[in-house]
Amino acid sequence: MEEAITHREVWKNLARDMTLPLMSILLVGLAIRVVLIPLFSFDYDLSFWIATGQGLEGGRDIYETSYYWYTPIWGYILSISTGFGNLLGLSVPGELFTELITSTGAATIMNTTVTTISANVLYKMPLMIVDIVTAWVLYSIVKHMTNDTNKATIAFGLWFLCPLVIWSSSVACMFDSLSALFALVGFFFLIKGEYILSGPAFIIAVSSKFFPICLLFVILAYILSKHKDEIRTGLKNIGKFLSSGLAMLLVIYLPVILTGNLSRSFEFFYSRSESVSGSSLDIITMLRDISYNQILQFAPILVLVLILIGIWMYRSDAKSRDQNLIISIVMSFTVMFIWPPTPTYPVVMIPFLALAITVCCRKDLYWSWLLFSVIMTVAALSIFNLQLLYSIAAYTDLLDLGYLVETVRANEGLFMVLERAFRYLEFLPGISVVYFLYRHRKKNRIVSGGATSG
Amino acid sequence: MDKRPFLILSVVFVAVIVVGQILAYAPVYKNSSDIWIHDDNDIGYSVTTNTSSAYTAVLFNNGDLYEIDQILIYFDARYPAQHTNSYLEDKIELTISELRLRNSPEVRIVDADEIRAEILSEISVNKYRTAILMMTGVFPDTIYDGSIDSPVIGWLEGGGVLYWIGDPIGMYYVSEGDKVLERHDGYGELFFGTSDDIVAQGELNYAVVPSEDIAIGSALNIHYNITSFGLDASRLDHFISIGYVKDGYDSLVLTKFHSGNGMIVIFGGDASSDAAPILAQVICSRLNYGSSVLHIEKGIVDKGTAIGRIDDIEGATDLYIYLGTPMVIHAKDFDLGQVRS
Repeated sequence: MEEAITHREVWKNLARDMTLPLMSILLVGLAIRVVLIPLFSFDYDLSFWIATGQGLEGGRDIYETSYYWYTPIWGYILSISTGFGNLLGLSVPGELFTELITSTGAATIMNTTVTTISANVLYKMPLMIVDIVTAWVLYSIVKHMTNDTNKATIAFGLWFLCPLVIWSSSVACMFDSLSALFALVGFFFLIKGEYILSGPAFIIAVSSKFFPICLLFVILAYILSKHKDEIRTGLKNIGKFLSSGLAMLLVIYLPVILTGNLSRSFEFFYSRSESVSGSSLDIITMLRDISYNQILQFAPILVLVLILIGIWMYRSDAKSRDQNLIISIVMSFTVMFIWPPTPTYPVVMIPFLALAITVCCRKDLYWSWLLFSVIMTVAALSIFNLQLLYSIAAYTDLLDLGYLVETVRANEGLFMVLERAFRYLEFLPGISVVYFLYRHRKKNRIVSGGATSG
Repeated sequence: MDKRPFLILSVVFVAVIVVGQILAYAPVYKNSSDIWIHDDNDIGYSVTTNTSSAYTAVLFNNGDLYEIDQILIYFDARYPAQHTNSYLEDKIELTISELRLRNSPEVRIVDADEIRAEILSEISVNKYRTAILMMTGVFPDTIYDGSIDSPVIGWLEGGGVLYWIGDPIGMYYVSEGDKVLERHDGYGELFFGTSDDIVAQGELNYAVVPSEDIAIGSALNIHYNITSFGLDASRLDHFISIGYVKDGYDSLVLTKFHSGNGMIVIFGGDASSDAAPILAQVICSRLNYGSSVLHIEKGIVDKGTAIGRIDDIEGATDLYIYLGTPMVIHAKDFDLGQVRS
């Protein structure tokens, strides 16, 4: 019956569903972003994006300037943003400010560049679009799975008004939401049995930010679980998923391979591995020097846990399979983010938390959503602190850059203490997910046990 | 629910990826610059680009001390260095890319034997038109063994130009296959005619006080402030210091070789990605220890050509034009003497 709904009807339905709550969430979310995008920026990361863009303008590719070392998708989007910047006449994306040298002793070009307000808008705009599209995709999936407009609206809000999501795309200018969008699209195609479409979507998600790679076991288990009685069909579908994904990978990476930059596109991974290579596994030492890169030291344990989650997924029955997929995805991401991550990393998990809350009725996970939203955002704030105001100070008369830089310098100690404190608090969101899922399972056992005995 | 909306979304995104690939890998952007001399000897210049970018034209008096035809970057995987081979290869590749962006003279990577041959060849004909860039932090023993008879010392006496980044210059040399670097004391005397403590000893330092000639650095949009291996320029006779100073050590110094006609340029940090554009900017603007800035013009060019005119100023030798800020997307040095002739 659902299959009979055409895409025109989806748009019609969406227009019909534009109820006051949905409209309000959309407008409030947009208003917050419109204010934050131009005014608050972390120039350090943005400086890398504008430098990559200027590298392209100089006739070099995204990796040649060494300012870009992620997988290429965001680099391609940067190249489009740079093109738009030129069309719109953005001639100065940033400038070096000597105040940052003479006051703080900052050394690198990236540390001494303050990006212009126009550049802040230009490079964050694609991420705002991604936020809106992700909210729509999430809404549609929840509506599809529950046929409940209220739940779909709640999911929309849990994404679009999530402080962490807003922070990531509108302040930090990090592209985690792009990964979240295609992880979600891949999820949809997966539950619809469209493996040839799910594979490429999953690869786009992984090629944007690496984290959805942790879902591989769960996805394979889900496909096999759907075809428990006909293992050949299951394997055939896995083949479809993987081969279409590999084809997409080739499309994404072709120019990178042809220019011999494949290893550079994984530099983010190597550099993080190198930073913990040979480090002590002593937990006290690790906690003292805490960093997300340390998670790589737990890699064998992580893989084992991810496999166990996959086995749990495989054992699902037809009735609970799709919901178990959502819970498995939430658990897999929790495995990745239980060790205090860089604040924006868990953005990719937020849509699946929203699905767990609305589709799987795991209302306790509201608390986890709240903990991720607040703790990660405040942790990021303590890292970026008043530096977020450098663009306003440098390019408007509202603040004095010299005074601001001096204030940042004078309070360095305080910001470091705050950062460290929040780094430890970042354990809480992941632990809360584990706790609430465990509590839910225990309750269900008691209920089903009670029902049996009764 | 129909899958088509999500399918369309995915197809649109793949199209975005393809457009991004084209913009990132096809030769989409074109930048160039040119100069000419007006009848009244004023200097005319043009900057052309299909981007929207800021440009700067800096009129220098660089004198007529050096004419460089080629830049040699030393790298030899057989000889140990202060960094791993892969690290150095990466930074050298990046530096070459930055040099070529600025229309540098021919750039070549040379090994320990080739660098010796080039140095000895210039000494033998007493003609010095090569600049050498050392990023390894250590000399190969083919050109330096700690003695005053080392080929590199003779070459500097004659008029060679040496750019050095990483570790105190002359402190280390190395033989093929060595496991450890040979340390030589007395490098201060050999290279600067004074004691070794003229070079900072490697403690990572970021200077905050602008140096005497910071205006030259600023004209080139260079703000280099690492003094780990900085130079105490106050003990030099002929120099410009265009970076920052900390504890008496200058981060970026161009100095005349103390007992000859050559020039040594010391960058106080290590070979790094950040240093590459700064190295290139210094090298390609043909700065030397006698350089001064005569005039600066800045402007914006938005998908077209900007044309400017600068008064003929006595002593002007070079017009260095660079496009893009904070990163340079095109630059070129024009030797006014050659243009006029």
